[in-house]
Amino acid sequence: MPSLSRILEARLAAASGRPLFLGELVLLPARSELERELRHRADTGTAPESLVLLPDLPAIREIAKNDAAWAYRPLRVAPGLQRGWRTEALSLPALIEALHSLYPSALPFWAVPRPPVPFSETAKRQSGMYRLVQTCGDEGAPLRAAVEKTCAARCLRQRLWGPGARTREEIERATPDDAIPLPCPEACNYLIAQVREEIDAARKQ
Amino acid sequence: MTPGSCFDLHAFRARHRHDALVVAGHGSTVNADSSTPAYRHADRIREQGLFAEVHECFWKEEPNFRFILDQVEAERIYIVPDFISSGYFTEEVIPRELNLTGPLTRRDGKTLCYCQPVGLHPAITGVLLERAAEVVHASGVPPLPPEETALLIVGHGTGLNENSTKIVREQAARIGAMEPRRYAAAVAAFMEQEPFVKDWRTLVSQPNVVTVPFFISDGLHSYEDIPVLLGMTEDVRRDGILNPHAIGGRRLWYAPALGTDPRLADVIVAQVAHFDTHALALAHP
Ligand code: SF4
Repeated sequence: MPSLSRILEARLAAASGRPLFLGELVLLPARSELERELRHRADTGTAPESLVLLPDLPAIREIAKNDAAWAYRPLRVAPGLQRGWRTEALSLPALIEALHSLYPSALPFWAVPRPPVPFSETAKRQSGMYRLVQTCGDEGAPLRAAVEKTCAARCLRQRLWGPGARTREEIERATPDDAIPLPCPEACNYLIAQVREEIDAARKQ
Repeated sequence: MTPGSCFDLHAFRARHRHDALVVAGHGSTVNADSSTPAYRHADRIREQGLFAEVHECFWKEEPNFRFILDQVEAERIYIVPDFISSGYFTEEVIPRELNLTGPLTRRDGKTLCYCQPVGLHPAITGVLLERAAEVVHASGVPPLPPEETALLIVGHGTGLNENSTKIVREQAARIGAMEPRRYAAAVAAFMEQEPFVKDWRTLVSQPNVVTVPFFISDGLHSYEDIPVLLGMTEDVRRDGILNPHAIGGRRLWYAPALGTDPRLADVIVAQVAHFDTHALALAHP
């Protein structure tokens, strides 16, 4: 299996100098063939001087970690990424680091395909108060409700697992030619917390 | 001694320039501060250029433990848990999620080196002492006379993880036994078990008391609960903390969580060096 950098390098080459999109991000061509500047996709055509230059990795990370009102964004791949910034032209290793910190796991989920994990498997690995999510199986109502309110309404990823899952091929076909898909191979911890809340709420009724 | 000075940094860099470091922390789905120290330590190590790649991963945040190795390209990978002690996470969760078979796992052409958690390195004692001295210095007070000063090391303390209780006690014992004496008393105290931190007035008798929370981040417990238990404030977020706090004719200092200290980055690196000299040496005698 080629490394993640080789796969991204090939994808950038295939874009042959055109912008490449990943969720709400755009990878804009820069001076040299393999360098890219990152921005919010809505800022693709904005004059660079109107955007704040993020000087380093910690600054780039903070953009995704907090929203414009500086509230925590536990779900990094949620819509609503802050706008108005740009990075410098990043070489491939720096670009990969920046993408890992803006959209954690997005590159490996795309480039290193793994079999989707059924929710009941993910639930088995939970401990403490999250063990409760083991009660809703692979199709339970609390899981469906949480998926509806979180995955469908508040996340840019597309599920490869659980109720209403799509196949990798379906996701790739639905992704425009100028974009990298955002598959979700396994329930994230944010969703697990939401499922637990749904179970709690149902019990209280 | 700073943790980084225990070995030759140039030699370390030369040895690891093709390797990857993975810092594994707990993270949180509600609290942004929980993962901040792990990210800061990783940033500092990146700046030093000690490894070809540096990654962070978490149990409750992305990137998750389970998928982190998919993004690492190096063949030799060091995994250092950003935890204060060994226990459920370092002994069960991380090995299970990263599919580790022991300290050394060889798989698919990769060598996975599973190091000790950061809190177990002997250099942590030095960081703790410096942290305690710095909180006093930052408050504008000259160095305190050891014979009139107590050090209170605070842990969480529950039945869930006895190791974390043990390590707080060990640190207190180690500092208490130092010659010359750094503190008239070095005492372990806990939030949820005896000796309780709320009883600090009877646990130590010195007029100056410096408190260091033995926590990995300024999560809710250390940042908000301990100063309330100490009687320094009723609401940390509203009122903040003023060092020193005068209370019952004594002065009380409260340091940020030990795990937020930038020197923890050096301790992470020191755990890799420790792995090289111990576990790797055993594998290749
Ligand atoms: S589980 Fe749902 S919310 Fe979490 S990353 Fe996947 S699609 Fe998004």
